[in-house]
Amino acid sequence: MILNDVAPVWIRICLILVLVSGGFLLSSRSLKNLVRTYQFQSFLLVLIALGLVVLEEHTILLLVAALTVVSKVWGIPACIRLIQERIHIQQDLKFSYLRPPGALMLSILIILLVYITFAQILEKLYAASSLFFLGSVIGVSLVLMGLLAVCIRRMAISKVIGYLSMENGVLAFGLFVTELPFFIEFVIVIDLIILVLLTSIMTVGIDSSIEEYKSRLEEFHLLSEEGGIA
Amino acid sequence: MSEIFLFIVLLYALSGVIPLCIRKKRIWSVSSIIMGGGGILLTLFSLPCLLVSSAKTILFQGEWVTFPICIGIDRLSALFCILLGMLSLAVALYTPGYLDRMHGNRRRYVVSGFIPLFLLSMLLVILAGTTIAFLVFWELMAILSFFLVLTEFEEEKTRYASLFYLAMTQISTVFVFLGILLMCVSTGSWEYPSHLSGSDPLISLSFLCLFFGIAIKSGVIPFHKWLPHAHPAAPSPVSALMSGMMISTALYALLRVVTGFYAPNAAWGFLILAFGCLSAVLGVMYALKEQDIKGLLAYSSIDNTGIILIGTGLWVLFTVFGSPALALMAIAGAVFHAISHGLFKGLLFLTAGSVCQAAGTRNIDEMGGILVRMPWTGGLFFIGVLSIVSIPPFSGFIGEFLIIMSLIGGLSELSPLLQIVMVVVLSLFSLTGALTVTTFVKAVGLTFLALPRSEGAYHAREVPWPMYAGPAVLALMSAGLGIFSGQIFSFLGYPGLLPDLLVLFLLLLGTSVLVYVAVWSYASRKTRITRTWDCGMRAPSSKMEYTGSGFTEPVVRFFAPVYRTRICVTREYLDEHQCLFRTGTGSIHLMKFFEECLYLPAARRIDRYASLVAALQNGDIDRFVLYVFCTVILLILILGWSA
Repeated sequence: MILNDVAPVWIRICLILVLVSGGFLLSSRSLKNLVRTYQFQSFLLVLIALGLVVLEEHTILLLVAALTVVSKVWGIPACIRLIQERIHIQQDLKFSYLRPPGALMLSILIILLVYITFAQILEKLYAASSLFFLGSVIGVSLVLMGLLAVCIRRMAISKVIGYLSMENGVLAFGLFVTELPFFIEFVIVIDLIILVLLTSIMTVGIDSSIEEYKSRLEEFHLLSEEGGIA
Repeated sequence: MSEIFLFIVLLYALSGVIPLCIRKKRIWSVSSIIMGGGGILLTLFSLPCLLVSSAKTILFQGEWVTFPICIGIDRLSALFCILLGMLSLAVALYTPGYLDRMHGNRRRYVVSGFIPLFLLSMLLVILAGTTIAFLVFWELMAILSFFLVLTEFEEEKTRYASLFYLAMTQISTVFVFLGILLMCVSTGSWEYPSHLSGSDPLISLSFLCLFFGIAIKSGVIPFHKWLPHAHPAAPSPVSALMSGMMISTALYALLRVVTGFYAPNAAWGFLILAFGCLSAVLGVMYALKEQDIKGLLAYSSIDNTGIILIGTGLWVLFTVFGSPALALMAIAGAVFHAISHGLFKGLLFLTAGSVCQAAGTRNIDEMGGILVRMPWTGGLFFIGVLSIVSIPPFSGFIGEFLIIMSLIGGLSELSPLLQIVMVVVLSLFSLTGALTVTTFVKAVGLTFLALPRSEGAYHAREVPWPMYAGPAVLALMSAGLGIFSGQIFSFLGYPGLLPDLLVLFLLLLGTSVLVYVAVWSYASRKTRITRTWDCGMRAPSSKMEYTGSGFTEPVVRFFAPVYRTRICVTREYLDEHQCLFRTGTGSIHLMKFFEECLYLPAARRIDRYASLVAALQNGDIDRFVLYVFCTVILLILILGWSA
């Protein structure tokens, strides 16, 4: 009974922290902090899923939480850290279109826009449960903030973290509104792992932009004379 | 019924897949046998539907994603299926021999594989029962034909022709798609509509879109420029199918749209009639000037498309102005001409292909004397010519006769204003007929008669028998369709529409036999060996023969405003005051009117707008992500606004 009373508050706090972590992903210049933030954000989603298990009693959410712990809290961050150790790059200072303050301002506007729009679209949900409405708004906002991170960050590794954050947004939205089938969540996680693995293959160019990748290969004498990778 | 249909589809698909998957020597012979079998089966399958059943028979029904797909056969589609079956058989007999003589190993497998698939796509267009199925198969037909045109891709001309064709065929698809979409918005269904009224502007727009989409595909002037490029560039069996069947498929679509989808509307009738007259007259004029034999046949297809359009336009006008008997005559003429055009144009392209392959050239001026060297091919080409110039009792005569009779009937039944229209159309129709005769006298005379004008023509030899057995099937069909036309119409439930041409044929045959017997009986048996009169020249050479341009020069001069020739003269003088003439050149160029005045300005304008859009696509990934981001935000805004 106590858990049932505590769970909504706990979920609300976690949701706010998810939003804060999204903002941090947009503004942080340290690569280590970016990964840590992503890890923290994923952990918050685990806590939200557990909170929803208490409220809704859907045991499948336990599986979702377990999968998130294994893949997003432990596996993917560990893999990215491994890459970071090899490339010895600590900072991401390259931005295009918007600097972090501008991106943060824009993300605040996005959250407002999503809130107003969803108040119109999900009118019934808004009336029935403000918690679920808040969850859906924050989920979609997180997707858009991740997309914004992909857009403004120049380094490939930061773009990857932006993409991973977008997927966290999809998961948050799925938890509160549509409740994604476990199988789909599982497939998405596999996708993410492949994405990170591919990124690790491109370790050499991970700190460069994608356009600079070829010149980076040439710099490290990794391009054969015919133009293929040696 | 459905099982037989599926079996036919399977045969076509199998004959297409075999040469694409199995790289064995002369595998195209196996593929051709299966395709020929499919053609015969399709003809036998369609005949009962044409002769007995008047209602539509559903052969397949299902759903693709959420769109309904229906395949069915009725009388009109059965008629075109028979044409497709006969052309399949002819091409199946012809193609192995043609491919044996073709250079390039890999392309031979591709051509022999794509031809049955191309035929299958056309079959499915004809049998499509819903608009979405029609669109899918229409696009499939366009793509397959594009690859077939591209066969000789090493040649610059072929690449140009293919790209031109691809651009035009995609514009056609866009128009058809828009037409179907507008029709769906108006009716709320993907099913074929029935007699939609033109009073709704959306429906009028959908008709115009469909008409222009089909007009591009069937080579109606001024959307015709792809046709004289693409048809000659393709291998001959493909040219035969494109001209004989693909244009007929487009015309089938037009007949289906005009007579079934929409209620007759006078404005649309005039529109179709105007495009028909323009295509018929200009098509044959361009054909007359053409020196490339396949180009000549391609232009002649435009002329015949015009004739069919005239028949269709007249049907609309006669229906609107209350002359059902004349309307029936006009539409019967249009449909009959579409079928007979498919047969004789297939025949002409196949035989012309044999001649081009044997002589090593497509230029009429470099041919001559082919009839002696290739008697079977020449004879069959001549039968095709007799049909295309509307000599009774060949099939080409029937359609044109019915359309002319309906025009003459219109002179007495319609209001004075419409009578003037009928007179104008009749005059243009007659002009077309006369110019067609001139064109094909040139084609036969310069290609097959007199002395060879090149080494290639001199060394030309008759093709193997299957290569004239294929055209022979079409020649028989073309002659038979004409001779038994009266009986065919009676059997279909339209007795008295035509005079009995069987009697006329028997009379002609009897008279010919009598004359021959008389001459043979009374002629002298003595053999005289002597020189023929040679105008005082001791050894007339091929250089003294008419050239193609020489033959058509009087007509070109007469119609100079239409041809828009440009005379270019250059002069060089010995002195600076230009008094003493040293040397000079003079040439007459045919202006590419539609290319210079319509296509190029349109292309330049599109290019200008496209360069504005191209600035958005700069290859920067961040920029592309930004576009996605902006689009998502815009969608959210729209959602919020419309909720």
